Amino acid sequence: MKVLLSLILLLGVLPSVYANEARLNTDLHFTNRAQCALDSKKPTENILVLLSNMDVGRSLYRLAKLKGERDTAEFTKLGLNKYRYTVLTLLDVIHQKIITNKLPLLNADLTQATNLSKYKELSQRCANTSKCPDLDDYLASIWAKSNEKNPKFGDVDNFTQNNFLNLEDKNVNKKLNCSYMKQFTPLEAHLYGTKPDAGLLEQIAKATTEIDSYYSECHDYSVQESLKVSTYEMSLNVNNSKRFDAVGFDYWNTLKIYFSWAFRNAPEAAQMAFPFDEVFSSVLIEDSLFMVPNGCKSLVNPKCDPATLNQNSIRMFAKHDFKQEAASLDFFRAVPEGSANKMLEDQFTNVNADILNFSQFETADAWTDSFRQNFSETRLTMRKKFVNSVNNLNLMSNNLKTNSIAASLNNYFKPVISMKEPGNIQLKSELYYLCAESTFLSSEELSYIRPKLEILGKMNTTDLMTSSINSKNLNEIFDYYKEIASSVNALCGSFDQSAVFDPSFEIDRTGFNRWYVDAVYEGKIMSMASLLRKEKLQTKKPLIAYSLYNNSKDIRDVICVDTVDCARTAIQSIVDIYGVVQYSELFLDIKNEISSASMLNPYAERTACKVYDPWFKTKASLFGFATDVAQGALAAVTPGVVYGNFDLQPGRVVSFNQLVKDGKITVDSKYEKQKVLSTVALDLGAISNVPCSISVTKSKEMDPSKMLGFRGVTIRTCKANEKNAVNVEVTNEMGEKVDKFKSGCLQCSLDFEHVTSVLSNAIPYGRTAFFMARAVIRLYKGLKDPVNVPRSWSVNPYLVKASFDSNGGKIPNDCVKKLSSGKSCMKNSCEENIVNAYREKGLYIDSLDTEQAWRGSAKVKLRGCKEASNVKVFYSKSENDGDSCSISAKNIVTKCANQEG
Amino acid sequence: MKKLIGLFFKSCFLFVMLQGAAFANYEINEAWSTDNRSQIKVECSSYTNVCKQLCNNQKVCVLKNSTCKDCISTGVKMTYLFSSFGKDLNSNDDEVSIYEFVDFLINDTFIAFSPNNIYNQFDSAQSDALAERFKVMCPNKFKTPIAFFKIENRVLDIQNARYVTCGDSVYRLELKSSLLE
Repeated sequence: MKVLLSLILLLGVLPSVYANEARLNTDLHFTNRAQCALDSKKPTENILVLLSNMDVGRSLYRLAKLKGERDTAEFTKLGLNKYRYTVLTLLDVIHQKIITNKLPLLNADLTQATNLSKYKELSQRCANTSKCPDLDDYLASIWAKSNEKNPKFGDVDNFTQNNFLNLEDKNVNKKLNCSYMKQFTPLEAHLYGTKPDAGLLEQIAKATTEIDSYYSECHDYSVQESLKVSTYEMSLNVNNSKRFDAVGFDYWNTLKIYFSWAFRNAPEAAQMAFPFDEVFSSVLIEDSLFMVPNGCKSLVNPKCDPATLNQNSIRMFAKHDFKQEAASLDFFRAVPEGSANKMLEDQFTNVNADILNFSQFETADAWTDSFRQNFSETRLTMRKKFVNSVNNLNLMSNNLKTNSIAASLNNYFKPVISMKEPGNIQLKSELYYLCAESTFLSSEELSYIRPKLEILGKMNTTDLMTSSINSKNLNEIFDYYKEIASSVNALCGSFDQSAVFDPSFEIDRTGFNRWYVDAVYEGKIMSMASLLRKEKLQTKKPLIAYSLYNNSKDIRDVICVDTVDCARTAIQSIVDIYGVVQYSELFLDIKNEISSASMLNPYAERTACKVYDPWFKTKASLFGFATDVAQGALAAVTPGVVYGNFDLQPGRVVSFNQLVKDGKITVDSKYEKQKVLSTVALDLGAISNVPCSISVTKSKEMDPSKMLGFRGVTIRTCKANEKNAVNVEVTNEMGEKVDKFKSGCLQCSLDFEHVTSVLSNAIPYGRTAFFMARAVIRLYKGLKDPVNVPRSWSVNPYLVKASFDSNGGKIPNDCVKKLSSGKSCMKNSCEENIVNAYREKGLYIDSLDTEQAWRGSAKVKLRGCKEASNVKVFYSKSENDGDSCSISAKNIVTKCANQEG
Repeated sequence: MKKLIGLFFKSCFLFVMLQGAAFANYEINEAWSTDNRSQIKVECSSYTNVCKQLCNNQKVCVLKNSTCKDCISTGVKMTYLFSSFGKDLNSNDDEVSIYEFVDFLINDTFIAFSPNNIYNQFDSAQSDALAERFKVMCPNKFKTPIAFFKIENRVLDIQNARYVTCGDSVYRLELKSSLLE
């Protein structure tokens, strides 16, 4: 009876529970790099939800104008609040269904065995499209059943008990915690640093007093000032559930898939959205909603595949200096190298060091807005590039046959090729630009990009997309381009280049197209090619243009001006398509999935790709990766430029730089020796200093009558006793309990081969693909990087605050260890006991005064109360442990003094 | 003489009447209801067969205009669509009989885009760039053409372009790039 009464009292008289109470009592989880890498393999319980309102906002504004609404701003705001409400509420509804086992889980990883045969079949069928009515029907029938009392999911697919979340703890709090984030604060400190110190703990203590100014209720829109974006934090209360560890990725997968379907189709969503349901169900919601794991754990199990790497590179858009650094980012290069490159170049990158620059922004929404703007603008640019380039090639292929191109080009350039007009600089230059651009991209011998472009001839993931814009598919488009390239290359090979482009001819490099200037001269020259096009249009009628052009005279309505321009435009377009396709998962809306990149953990992909292995016992695994991916990591040099002297000793181990010093390297006299050698050194990077063995292909002896052409550098792993191996000793730096260490062997060779004649070409020396070789060298350097033993720390903000107050407004240094393991560190054990006793009852103390504890009484002020209450404590004196006190449960005062509960 | 003048005036009157009948017979506009349902509003200035069939002899009626999935976006399809009006989406010069158009409106599910449609993410709300492109689609340079597409299950397929209304003339709308000869 007494218990019942006190329970009723407890429930009835608790001071008002602040929404942020749960957050105060949730541990912050700090990790070092190694632990963060390990955590990447676990499903997260805490996410940031970034919601952009831009697309729907524009439509709402237009709707307001169409309807003639008196106050368009008010109407738009109303619509946007409804939009936020619909998104948040729907997420909550889906979560509730999953956590109460009303909705089964859909496997995230379908490469593993699954009993959901129908789901697997549908997912495979719908792999590269979002237009999949059968999958929609499947989801719809499960959803309908989830509202039934005793649903028979077996009718839809082979669902068993194991396909439901079924958390072990039946009494777990099933709520999806949701807060609107006003600022990133010390309470997100786990994102800013690794091991907590006294200073950080003090900041955390201070932040807890202002917690209500950092977070607010998700549905309190009056607080959410920005109309463009809103930033939320959501978390589950799974409490170290083993079951969640096992199926957490499936949980998130299910949440995302159902959200995508339900937002458009579920009657519940239409009800939430009314009267804007018709508008919202037309939104491509996946373009506007981002989920980010709040910490090192992941939303999606990281895999080492291009999709994961590309999607994770979205974190670049969050940097505060994105716009300044944009030019150097891979996305914007004329010929992107792909995200794998970035990962290899920067293996031991920073983590848990405010890598997304939260601290540079005043509010969380300001950060989200900056991210949104950087990302959507880039995404739109890429989409426009794709549409324009595909359209250009499509229209050209319909209107310009390749056999007519060859004839037309021959005719056009006859005056300079036949040497009839040797002084016609303009025509010569056009020919030079055409030949250089085409050869760079498609020459069999010389182009390093050519094999990369071949992928455009083999992919089918964009087929539905190209057909949706009334175009041929990429394979056909690529074939057309190849025909053009052959015609052009045939032309360029048909005359004596050294005669036409005689020594007196100097090319004005600004006439190259922008992509070429970016790829070859790294953007150090401005391309004026578009101005030259416009000039041509003053006197010429364009060869292929929209009829609109007659009135608009807008160059954007012109596809190409003349045959030369068509050929160059075709080349430019294929380069642009290649660039976008490299990052298709990031920019193209082929498959609409809610972005859930590991923005805060760059080790997610590094660990998945074994570029970083927190448990490495030997670093040989890193060698293995580099070699496998690089297939020998050939670093090629344009042939016909660099030569070795005939008295080189094959097998001699020496670095490239040393060979230069020794005068063993010569350069084709056509080129400036110094320039070439410095370019080669740049390209070879650190390898130019690494001793490699000289190898001469296909011969053991030197033939003094022949020249030795330098082909490049090969790097591969080797057996320890192989000749001319560069042995790299690796040691196990874990230190503990490992018996043997393995050593790694790295072999690199400077490859020469006998050549019978000097290959001459008019193409300026271009960059070649070195990144793999570079990666291996950095790897070699990385061996010296100190090993991180995985470490983590837990900090409870409430206990930190209590300890801070108890110790007179500071955190003593000898409290750091205790506070970093999730415990409190009060000034004496009396206060320790009181705080813990209250905490066990779910009560939080604002202030505590134990001066009179020796008299059996302490003053306790609960959070939310205005005044302190006196509580009875039991005082004890002990010779060994010093004075202390304790409090019994019945003496805990649960209501505020002088107040009704 | 009087008879001649009378005849003259009569024929003028008839002429004007006929012209009047040819112009401003009916108006088709994009509209949204108070509870934000997408609609096409038909307003007839006189009782014609069009109004009989479409509007059950009323002078004003409203037809359901479909919305479309993923159309409020800057996705590739929408990026292409909004650049294609007047360039790759054009009217065939032959006018289409009003009865064929009415048949389509009654029997098919359609989505209609006016220059002020809500889906345009590419021009600023104050700009009339899209309106300029739309105008090109009408041989009679009508200021507010409306492009009609057949649609199924709210999935827009640009190849299902059907008609464009240019005042009270209707033309066939085709996905065919209009290039300089």
